Amino acid sequence: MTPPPIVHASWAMMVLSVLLLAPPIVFIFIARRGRQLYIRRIPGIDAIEEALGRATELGRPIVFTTGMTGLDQLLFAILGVLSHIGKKAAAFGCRLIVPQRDYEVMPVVSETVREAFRSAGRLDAFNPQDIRYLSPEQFAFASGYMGIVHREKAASCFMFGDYAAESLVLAEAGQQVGAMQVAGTVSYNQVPFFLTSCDYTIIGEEVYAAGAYLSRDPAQLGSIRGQDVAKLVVLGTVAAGVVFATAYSSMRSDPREGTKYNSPFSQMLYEQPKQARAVADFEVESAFRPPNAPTAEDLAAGQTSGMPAEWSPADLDQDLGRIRARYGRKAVRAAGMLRGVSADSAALAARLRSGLALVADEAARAEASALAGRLDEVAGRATQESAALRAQHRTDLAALAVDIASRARPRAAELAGLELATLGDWVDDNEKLAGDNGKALVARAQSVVRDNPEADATRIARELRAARQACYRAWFARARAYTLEAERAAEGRTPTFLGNLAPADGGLPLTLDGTRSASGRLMPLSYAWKVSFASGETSEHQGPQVKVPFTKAGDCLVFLKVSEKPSRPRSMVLALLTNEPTDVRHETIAAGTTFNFSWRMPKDARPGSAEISWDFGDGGPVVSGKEGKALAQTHTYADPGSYRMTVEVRYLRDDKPAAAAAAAAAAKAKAGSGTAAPGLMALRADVAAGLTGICDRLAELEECLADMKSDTDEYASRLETFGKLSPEAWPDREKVASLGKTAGELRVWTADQNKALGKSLSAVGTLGAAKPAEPPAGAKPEATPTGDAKPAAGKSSEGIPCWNRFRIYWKVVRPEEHESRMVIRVRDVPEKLPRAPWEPRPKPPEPKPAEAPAAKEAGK
Amino acid sequence: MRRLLVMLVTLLAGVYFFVQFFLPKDLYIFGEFYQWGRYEKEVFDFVRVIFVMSFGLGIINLVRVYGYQIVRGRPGWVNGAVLLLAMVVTIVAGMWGKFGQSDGMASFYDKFLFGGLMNNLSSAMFSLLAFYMASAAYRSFRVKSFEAALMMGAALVIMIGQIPLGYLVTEQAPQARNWTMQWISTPAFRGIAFGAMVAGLAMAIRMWLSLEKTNFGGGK
Repeated sequence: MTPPPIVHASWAMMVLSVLLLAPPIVFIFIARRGRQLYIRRIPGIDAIEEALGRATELGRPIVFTTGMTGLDQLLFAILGVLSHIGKKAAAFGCRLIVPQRDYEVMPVVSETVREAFRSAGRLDAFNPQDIRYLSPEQFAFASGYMGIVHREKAASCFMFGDYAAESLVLAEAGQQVGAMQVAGTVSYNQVPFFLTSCDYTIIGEEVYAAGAYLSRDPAQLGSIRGQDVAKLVVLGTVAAGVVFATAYSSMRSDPREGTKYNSPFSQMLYEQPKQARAVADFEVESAFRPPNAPTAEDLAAGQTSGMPAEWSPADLDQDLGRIRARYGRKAVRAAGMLRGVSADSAALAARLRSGLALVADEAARAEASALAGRLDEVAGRATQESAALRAQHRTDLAALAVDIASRARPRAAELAGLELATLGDWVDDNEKLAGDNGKALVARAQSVVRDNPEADATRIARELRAARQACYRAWFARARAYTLEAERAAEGRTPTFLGNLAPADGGLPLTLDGTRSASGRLMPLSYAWKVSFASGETSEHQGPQVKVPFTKAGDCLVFLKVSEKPSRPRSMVLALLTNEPTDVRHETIAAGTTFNFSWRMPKDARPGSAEISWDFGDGGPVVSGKEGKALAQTHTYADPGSYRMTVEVRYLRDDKPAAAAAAAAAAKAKAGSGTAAPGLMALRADVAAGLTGICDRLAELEECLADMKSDTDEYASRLETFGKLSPEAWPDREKVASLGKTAGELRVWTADQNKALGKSLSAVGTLGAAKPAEPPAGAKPEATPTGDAKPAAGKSSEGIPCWNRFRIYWKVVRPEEHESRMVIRVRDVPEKLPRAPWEPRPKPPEPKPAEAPAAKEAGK
Repeated sequence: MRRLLVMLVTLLAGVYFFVQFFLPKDLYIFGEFYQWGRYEKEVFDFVRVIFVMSFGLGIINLVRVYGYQIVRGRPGWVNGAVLLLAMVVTIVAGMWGKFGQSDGMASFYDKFLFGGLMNNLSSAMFSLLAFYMASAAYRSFRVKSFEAALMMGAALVIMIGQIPLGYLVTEQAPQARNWTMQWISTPAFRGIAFGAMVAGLAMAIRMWLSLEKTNFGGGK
């Protein structure tokens, strides 16, 4: 179970939560104080009594199921109904069967029914066998339920809870035996099925009300009344939202969104007598967004693009702490593993030495001695490294972050000073726009940076953020007003766009977007644009989305031609995706499309064994051949029509189990275990097991050390960010780098040992054994009971013959095209936006130096 | 005492998530930042352990109920025996295949038990839906009341708009279908969902504050 992403409530959510949660709580307490609360009649719940009476009269059982409901609040709402039915069933002497699909829900349900029978004074009538667990799988449960309803000939069926596709299966089972059925579900997709198959259906919140309706418990009744009031709150919120959204629909909070306009073309196309094949649509955006402006997200985070966004000392400090903790945990784990490796290696070396006398062969004994020596070395080094790691992780990394905030102060003040200077200029130039608040915040931030040496980097960051937000908000309010004006202008029949049309500024760039065009046959599209400007000039563009600058005010005509196109030569690899030997596909393509086909050989196919035949189905010759060039073909379907392409492949597949058995037999023969003495066999087994354990542990250690190395790298990169804030050198970086280097070296050593010991492990089988005799030349492979030729060691089997067929039904069609056009009006803005607060004040042009009088005279 | 303990644990468990939702991501207290959500993993590990325990409880319950049925030779004991046998075989095959690293057993589990039996049996059950839908549709098209007539009308509009042939009946059929789905069906579903959501919230509050205690294991 992965923890879900953490969601934190916004202020609006907090207010809404209080409005929704308060009414149920208040009404529960009112009801508990004895006030009678009215609940309207729900016919479906009244029908429960009728269904119970019917079952009693017929003397047949009642079946109740909670469907797919898990252990949640819905289940507890249903338990109220189940409890009521259980009590009545006990009182009337009816049998109540409750099939279950959830092992967590089952004990809860069982306890509820038992309690109901007990409270009715008929505990003896309760039969635990009637609370039956069927299956957690949806349709297995459904089939089990059907079986029970049919076998027991249920008189009444109750289906309460959460349901999915099995709902109709369950409901139809009751229909077939003529049971009276009452269903109650919050799964609104299943409501239609229950409506058609059940006598009564309780929908949505009525399921939650059913328990209260039946039990008349004051807490539940109060809760029902409370939730009705809460629903009124929801309704009120929806109504208020509709009113506000309608009233302010033309206002946008984010000028970045710019102006969007959906052309009437899509509507026009749908109105045409035949179904539209291609739909053109235009969208115009970013009409007013200055380049490099901060986004709304940047603004919400108090940061801007182009500004030192990554420096927030508090966040960095937290990050560093987290990495330190992670590194520390891994270091302790690695030290523990090293200790384990050391102990295991020492023990294994001792065991190997004690058994040396059993090894008769001189060379093998020398090899075993060398292995024992290597194991001793490993043990010694591991002990040493373990101690070093334990000592190191406690002191080094923790010490690095102690004075980080104070060190960051000077550089933070320097950076903040630069930005505050820009903001200060802006406030001076736009006094009215910035307002008193903006001015005061900027001044305060400046005084903190300049006059308060005690303020650390965090405080400076906070002050700067406040000043920045005040200025940016003021500017965005002005920008929004511009957007609003543009949208009002666009409300007319001809879409109108306002902007700075000055050619020197690049004109008003509008993005013409045709990406919402679609081919009904899912074919690739090509886009051709033609724009006739107000000045009489035209320009042509290709591509789904083009950016066109407009420099002259007036009406412009935009044409878009969207055409289905034969795609560029496509590649298609034929490979089996399913276990079926035949793979069938259907595809629609444009006439003239060229395909590069190839067959992907399965991994276990024997090289050189494949034979393939290609029949493209368009009257051309069937191409067939052996492996090589025949495995890939190029073909073009030139004419429209329907074609059936068939590709057949025959090849041999390696018989894996046979090969594995052969390898095992070879290993057995190589080890010569049949000839070794029992003591030597035990030694081999011990050494093999010991070495395997050490190798496993070394592999794990290697992984842990790699993680530690990456942690130190990350730590160093974080420090690097901090380093930008401090002008002086950062000795800590070297310390961290050295820690990473240590972990890296240790990892290399671990990997080497693992490799060397792994080699020794493979040689353990021959410890003290004579070399196996060469098989006589011309020896025949043994025959297996199945009749297949089973190979001797090192030789492969004959392989399994395989056959695959790929069949593709091509529908080759003529490409279609559609042309649409739109008139747009472009207007110059009446007034320019003031300079944005993040842009530095433009420098005044330098006065030209006066020419020297001598030069003037010379010129004359 | 037992009930008090249960109430207390329920309340505390709810308090954790409640506080996590309503506190801001970074809590600035006395010059330090705290993140309540940093304990998320630990809490979910705990929840996972509880889930595993309930899994064990489910197995014990199953063995108790069906074991009793088999031992006493009650009617339907064969079904119980098959269920227990299937459970044991699946558990053994699955664990052997995974932890014993036995390819044969893993293949038996994946290909035979799951791919061969389970999937095919489920598909067979699922295919029954096609027949049941036809039968249910027939019943719903018998106009016995005003509501049934409304339902049939809506179904006709949707069906004609959905099928390609509907376009030949009237060109407005797809639009009518879309309009019905978008402006009638969707708001109705959303209304149901809203109501259920509010009711679920009220139910959750009752459970959290242990005001819901009359159904089982409690009461007077």
